[in-house]
Amino acid sequence: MLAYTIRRLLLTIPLLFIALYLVHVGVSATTDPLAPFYLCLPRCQDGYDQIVEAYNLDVSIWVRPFIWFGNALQGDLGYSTSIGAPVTEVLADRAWNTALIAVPAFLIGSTVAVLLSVYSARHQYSFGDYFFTGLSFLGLAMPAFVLALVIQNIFGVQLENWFGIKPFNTGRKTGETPLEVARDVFLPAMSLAILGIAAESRFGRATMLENLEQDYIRTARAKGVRERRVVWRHALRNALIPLVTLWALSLSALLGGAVVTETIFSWPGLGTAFLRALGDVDLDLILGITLFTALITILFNLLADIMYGVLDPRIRLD
Amino acid sequence: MDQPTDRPTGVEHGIAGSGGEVRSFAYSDVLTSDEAVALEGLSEKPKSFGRLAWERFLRHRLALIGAIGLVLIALLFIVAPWFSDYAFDERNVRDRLLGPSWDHWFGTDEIGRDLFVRTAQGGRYSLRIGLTVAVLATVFGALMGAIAGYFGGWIDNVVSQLVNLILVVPALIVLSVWALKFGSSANQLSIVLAALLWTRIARVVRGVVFQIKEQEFVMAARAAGASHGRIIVRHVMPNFVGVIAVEITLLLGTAIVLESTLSFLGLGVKPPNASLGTLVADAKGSIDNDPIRVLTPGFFIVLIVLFVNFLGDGLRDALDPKSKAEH
Repeated sequence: MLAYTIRRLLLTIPLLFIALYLVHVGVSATTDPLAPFYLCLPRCQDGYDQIVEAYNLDVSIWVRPFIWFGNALQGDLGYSTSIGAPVTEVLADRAWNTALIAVPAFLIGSTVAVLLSVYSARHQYSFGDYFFTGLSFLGLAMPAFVLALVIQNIFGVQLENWFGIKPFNTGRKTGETPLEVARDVFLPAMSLAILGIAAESRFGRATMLENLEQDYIRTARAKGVRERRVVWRHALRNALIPLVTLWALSLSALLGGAVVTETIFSWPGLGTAFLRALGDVDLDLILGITLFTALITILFNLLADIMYGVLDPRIRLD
Repeated sequence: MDQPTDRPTGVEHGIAGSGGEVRSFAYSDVLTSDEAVALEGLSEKPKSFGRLAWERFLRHRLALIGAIGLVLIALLFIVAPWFSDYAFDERNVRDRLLGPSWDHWFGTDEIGRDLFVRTAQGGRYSLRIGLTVAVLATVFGALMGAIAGYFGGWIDNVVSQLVNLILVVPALIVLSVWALKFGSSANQLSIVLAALLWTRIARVVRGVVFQIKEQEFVMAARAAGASHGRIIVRHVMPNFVGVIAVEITLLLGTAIVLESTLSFLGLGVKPPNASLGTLVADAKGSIDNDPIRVLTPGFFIVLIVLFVNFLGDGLRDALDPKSKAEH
């Protein structure tokens, strides 16, 4: 297991370098930080030189990424011009904010998805099953931005008009006390959770159904195990194995920052920082966030594979 | 060299399932679904004929609804604007921000453009990009997957590292760099979206080809003197045609959602062109006063993707002779 983990991690290092190299070259090749200086050149030579110095523009575009690599390996990810702070600080701050909505969304979403899939599988073709399956079809077809706008409008605007109070904060993190933070987190986390439920509950229903038809379930019932225990201990445990992969992937996607949902709710997380960095061509921050999301993706994929082996001893990793 | 008899539990339900089950004959040779169900009934919990018929009816009815719905939406987008008096970029400042009426079916926007005509035009644009992406990504992905699966070895490694690379590089960076370099016309957008979306199909096709090339019937064909071309067309391709038909359908939905999301963020379709995503973005500012204006293009996106998914699920069941009546 340890050897497998180490080998997997070693394999991803060149991948990470290539990805960051391509991003660096691609962004540098299509943008020009000197653009504002061309018109005023003789007068603003100092500023021009500073920019050349700051972005290493006197070095070939193919070599520039290595300067960044050298600094990054020493823990210096550079300075974010769009936010005005060192990239490491920005990353820590924004990643925390993103986790603030991603973790509740994930916990609520996956719990509800499991409950729904158990219900739907046990009451196959009942009204409830059709109802929830229909809802998940709808949720799967709903782009994140439509869902987030609808939720924002219903809970932030219409309900406020109905009751004459402001029950929900529709955007931007303002809260200080835990209760206020919970209020701010509620709507964006709910949007993300609904999307997760839609994707996971249909998958969970299928794996749960498949497991309920297995021989070991019949054996368990035949030897007199109570139905509740058969469903929750025997069938569900096995049905969860393939769901774990799905969870690892969705959690890594959530922690990497939900660009759309964060933008609509003006949430100061990684997603909004990333979009802004792209717009302002903040190369250091773009690379920093790419590094962060890539690391999370790689780690969670690895975690998913390891968990798979732990949960199902029949699967051997080598 | 063993023929997998049972599907692995769960992962990529349906798709991996039909991939794991290898056939060398065309679909017309397979038992009709009635016979297959009747045979399966012997080893499984018996279901009444009425139940099975009802389930199959439901299943195919959904696919049918999906197909008809998609055609109707396409017709609405293509034909209906002919009967409108307005062009999609015609401004009429006097009539700005009107609600829906007989004259302007969906109302008008801030500079008096007819929103129905704009929605139809945006919808056509979205559908066009979605279709192009689906075809491009499927062709490229199937090709890469087939090459990786057929040759294996280092070629397989290179392709799978390429897939990993695409998963690691954020799509938004690729998109904005590409747009800055080549512009963001519908064709450029389609190319870059296809370049991001081919990986799933490649993985599926690779898996199928990987198994087929070791099967006895391929060796038999080779021993009988069949050329590589004949083996691929007659013996290998029938095994992943069904998978591809499903994937291309689902990909159409994915591409439309992705395109509209990007356009919503301002990274996709640029004015003067409009897509369903830019229409939502345009209407976002006035959502407090006029939520309907956001909902109409959003509703069409949801409807298109819903129908596409119905169709994809129906196709998956129809093209997988082992599938039972579920969902």
